[in-house]
Amino acid sequence: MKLLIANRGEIVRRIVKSCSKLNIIPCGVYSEADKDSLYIKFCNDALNIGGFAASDSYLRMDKIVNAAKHLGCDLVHPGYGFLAENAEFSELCKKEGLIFVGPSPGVLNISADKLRAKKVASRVATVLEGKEASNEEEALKVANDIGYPVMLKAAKGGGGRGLRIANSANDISKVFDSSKNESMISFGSDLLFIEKYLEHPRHIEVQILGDNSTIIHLGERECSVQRRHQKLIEETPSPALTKNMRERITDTALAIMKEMKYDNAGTVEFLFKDGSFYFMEVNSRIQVEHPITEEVTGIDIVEQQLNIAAGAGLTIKQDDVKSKGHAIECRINAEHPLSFIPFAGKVKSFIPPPEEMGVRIDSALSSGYEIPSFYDSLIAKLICYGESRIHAIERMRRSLSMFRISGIPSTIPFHVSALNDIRFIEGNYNTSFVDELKPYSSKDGELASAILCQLPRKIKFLENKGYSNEEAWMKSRFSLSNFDNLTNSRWN
Amino acid sequence: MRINVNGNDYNITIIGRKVRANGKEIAVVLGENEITIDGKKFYLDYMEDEEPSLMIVNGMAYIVSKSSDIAGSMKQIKAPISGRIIEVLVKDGEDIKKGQLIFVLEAMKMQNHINSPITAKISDLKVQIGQSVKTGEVLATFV
Repeated sequence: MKLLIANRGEIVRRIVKSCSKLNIIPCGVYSEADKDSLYIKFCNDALNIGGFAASDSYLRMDKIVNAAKHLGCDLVHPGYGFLAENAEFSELCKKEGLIFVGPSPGVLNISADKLRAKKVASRVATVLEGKEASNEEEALKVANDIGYPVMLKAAKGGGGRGLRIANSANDISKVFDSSKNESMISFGSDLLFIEKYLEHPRHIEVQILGDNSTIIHLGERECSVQRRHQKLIEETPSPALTKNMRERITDTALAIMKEMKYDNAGTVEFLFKDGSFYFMEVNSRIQVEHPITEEVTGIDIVEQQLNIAAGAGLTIKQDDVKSKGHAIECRINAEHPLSFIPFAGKVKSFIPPPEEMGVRIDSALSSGYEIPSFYDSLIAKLICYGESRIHAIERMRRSLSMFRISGIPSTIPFHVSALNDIRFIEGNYNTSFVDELKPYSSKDGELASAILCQLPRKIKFLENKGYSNEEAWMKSRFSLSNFDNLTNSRWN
Repeated sequence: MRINVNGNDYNITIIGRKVRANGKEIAVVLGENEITIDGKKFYLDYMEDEEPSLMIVNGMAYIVSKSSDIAGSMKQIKAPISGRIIEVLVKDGEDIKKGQLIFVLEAMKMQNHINSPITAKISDLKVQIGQSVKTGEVLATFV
């Protein structure tokens, strides 16, 4: 069988790994902006679908379907983002004789419609009130009905895109347009969803796998470390849950997915506060943070997705799911580590820590790669496993300090700060964690920086004089030793 | 040279492979993008071409400035990334506070908030809504 992976970056490489286990031939697509990307090399065959912006490439259903047909694919895996939760796309695949690796169109029609999903979930769980709004007037009416504060978000997608908080009618007027625009550029729809906002909750989700006869869960993930409502660090199990609460939240998630007759892999997202949890939404796709669940359960979620889609069904039962140890994922983004402003540009070198026991790196980045400015800023996922939470934290700290990315700023310093924050160490944090985070650095690092900062200036000066970067480095190294007494033979 | 790192002053004199830091002599070994001090290696992962500048060393962030008066050296605000200005929240001549939101820049599918690094007065607003800007382009100057 042949599979088209209708996505870009690390998730393509991740899906290819499971393909080789199942003897499925992986194919890919790429935009004009991605033609030099490393992930393409992992596909047996790949097609240039043109375009730069997502709306001209990875969001174009016609181009994706044509590529699948052209490459002779039987299945289409949408990855995450882009068309992953688009019911129209899954229907189109079906019509064109392609197997969509994801829930059936009937399920997607419910899960992609945040209001319908809430209605179904409300039969078995407590939900946060909310409704769709296509213009500001409607948004104001919904907010009035459910009461402030409210949250505005993209109705047709997830990932925190378009998400804004409004405490008053005045706030809605201020944020409505920007929320709408961000939703449009991310998902091609400017329909918004207005929902009751819970202040400083924890964000906990449950991983589900289902085929047409069975639905099982693979435990929960704690995803409360977020900025701009986008996840930065995830861990499993959640340090917030007692055994009893864990049973309640996983049972509720199973009940919701049974009501939806869910098939394939999906996640039920909850907000958790003061011992109560509230259903938020169903993410009907593979999620960015799925590796931590794989690390503690030993189950390959993408392999299960492919089995279910191809009609073989689930190859595991609930009793086979045995979680062991603790796993943490740090999302490394090409962003300023303090302001989180994304950075597009050339990666000079990319040297991840060694993938020894308990260290996994999901990435499609390579030295010399030019990060395009059209897509999101995720460049690598660092996943660390430990027999206990503290072991996982220690392994993560060590791996972060060994992760060398140069030429671009990255969120590594953010993660180092987070993993040294007492709230994180104690497992006592919520979605406001990042707002109160203090940068963590070391005294000897300050001294090293004070000396190192003088080098690049010198190098720039030499580069301007016509030396290559390498020559400038060599020269500046010696020029620093100009005043050295010549007895220093160790200098080379 | 006097260097300020994360709010602390360092007096650095480099004489050959010997470095004098705050009057005390230390032995260092320099390599490409790295330095060894007392047997410990420090890697320079990233350095901003700005003043003050962000440095990432061994995965930690350091704000480095040639002068201890960081605020005094910031006379302009530049675009941190290429994109489109979608909101301008200040006017020419307006007094602004440190941390105040002054621009929203759309780049990489995200709306990025650009806050003022200092408390000052806007002396020259160089961009307007809808304008595309390149990385490093001056958006406004301060007095």
